[in-house]
Amino acid sequence: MIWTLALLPLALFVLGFPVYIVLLAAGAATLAFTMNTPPLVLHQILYGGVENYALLAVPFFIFAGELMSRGGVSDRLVLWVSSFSGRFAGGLGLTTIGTATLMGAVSGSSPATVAATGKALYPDLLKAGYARSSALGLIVSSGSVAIVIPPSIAMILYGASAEQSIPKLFMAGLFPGLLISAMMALYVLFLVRRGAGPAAAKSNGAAADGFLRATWQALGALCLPVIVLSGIYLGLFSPTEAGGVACFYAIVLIRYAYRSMTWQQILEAASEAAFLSGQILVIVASAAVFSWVLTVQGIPQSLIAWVADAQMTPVVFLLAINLILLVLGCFIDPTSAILVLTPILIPIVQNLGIDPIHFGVVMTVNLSIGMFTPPFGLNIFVAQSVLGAEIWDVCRGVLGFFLVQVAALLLITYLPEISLWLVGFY
Amino acid sequence: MTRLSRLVSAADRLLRLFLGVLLVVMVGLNLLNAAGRYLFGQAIPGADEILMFSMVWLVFLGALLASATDRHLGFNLPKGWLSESTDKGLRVLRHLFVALLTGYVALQSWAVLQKLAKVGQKSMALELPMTLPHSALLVSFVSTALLSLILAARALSQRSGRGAADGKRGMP
Repeated sequence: MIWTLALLPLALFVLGFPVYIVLLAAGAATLAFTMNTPPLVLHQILYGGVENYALLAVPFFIFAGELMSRGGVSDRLVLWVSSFSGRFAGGLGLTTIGTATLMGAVSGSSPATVAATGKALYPDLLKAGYARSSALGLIVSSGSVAIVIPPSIAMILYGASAEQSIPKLFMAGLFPGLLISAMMALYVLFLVRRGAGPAAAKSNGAAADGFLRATWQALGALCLPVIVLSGIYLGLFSPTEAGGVACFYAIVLIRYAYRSMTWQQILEAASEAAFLSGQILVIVASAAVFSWVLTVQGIPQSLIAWVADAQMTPVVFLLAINLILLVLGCFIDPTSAILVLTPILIPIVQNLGIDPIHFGVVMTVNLSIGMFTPPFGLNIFVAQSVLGAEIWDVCRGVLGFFLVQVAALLLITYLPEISLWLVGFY
Repeated sequence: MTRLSRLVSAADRLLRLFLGVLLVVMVGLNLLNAAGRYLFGQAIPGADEILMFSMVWLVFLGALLASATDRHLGFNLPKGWLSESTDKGLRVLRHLFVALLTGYVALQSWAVLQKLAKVGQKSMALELPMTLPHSALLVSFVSTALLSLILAARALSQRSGRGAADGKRGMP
């Protein structure tokens, strides 16, 4: 059994097989060689893995994110953020972080946030005197917060996998996301004060735009997360319906208010969103097979017994999980990591008395850091492709921001109130 | 461009278009359903069922498209870590393994579909045959198996050279 559930998937993964094939192969091999269950069950579990109403939100939010990131929303957000942050020394750095946070709330995609923020602000950051590596580090690390800030696709996948409330997860991600952005902003200000960053790096020109005018221009984009989240929490619609509302709103906004996309381009965005959904949700289906085999073989129970024997406290367990996820995040994308690890970890988490909603946030923050850590952080490759950056420049630039986000992660891990305080009102 | 490549490229465009239209229709149906429930106190009969069945097709056809363009999520060794011949051998191995596995899963899907057809199982709301959503898996896995065999044959027949190694991403 150990070779079908551990060695085979590990070998396939390292050899570059797609994650869904890795999981499916592990499940099918265990079923065929070590169990007396008819293999027809493979089909049933694959089908059942995606026939989940909550998962319908995934293609809808991806589509809304595609529309917003292709529809020129980032430029309006840059103008709005810089209209109040651009007046300070280091204001351009603050504008980058603020725009990435808002873009994350609007698009829910970390790579899309890096691409949009980078295209809009990278040339200005260089002109303002930021070193190439610092500017790249700032852009790729601030974009990572997109998967923590609600509405977050990573949270939907965790919620479906751990059978937890998606509205509660969205709510729990809000303060941690804002905390990460605030700590990043403080770090930028610290660098400026210490003389390590360009003190005169105010936003050029944009600050001249009045706050009210910039707010008016960005109002449509800013309303999207407000409509989605308030609709969910006021009980007007479910997260899945909220996804549909987000798509409809985004289409109306970019087609009729901003006039930035044609119907043909909207259809192209839908095609890309459908493709990305297939890419993600086929892993959900395969992870269901893997998770079923693990459960039938009693692996989670064995792990719980092992953790109990090791007399691991929640504090030590969370520290160990943080270390493991930080390392894994450097190699695996958040989607795969969440879908593979959640079914294994959730029974242990519940056995130790850790709140699964809090754990979902800890997991997502860990994996969001993995989005910009070398060697395989996806945001690094986005910066390379969109901004023509050298990988080495990006890697040098992220170090300081990595340490800041790890500090934020420790706060989020050991002060569960940061995540759970707002959930208490729901 | 070979005839086969042109054919696959056309199928890829058609599939993309179909998936895009399907997603737009799903969004519309989801909205109308929610609006009907809140504004008129009545949901569209069977809308949730249609949405679920559409999503099953969207997922497995989307996965097929990802296979055709070699854009599945996974761990990639950096370029240049492997020699050209090792890289080519690994690609052939990957395609053959995927063909074997997806072929095996397709056989299971076929067996399930036969059982469903035999008992005539129908959906609860609209009484649609359950073979309708379940066949998405068969279509996806059979197509992926065939595609992987073609890609393996193609990789084997490719002449060595940097261009050949770089051109590994997908069929078109």
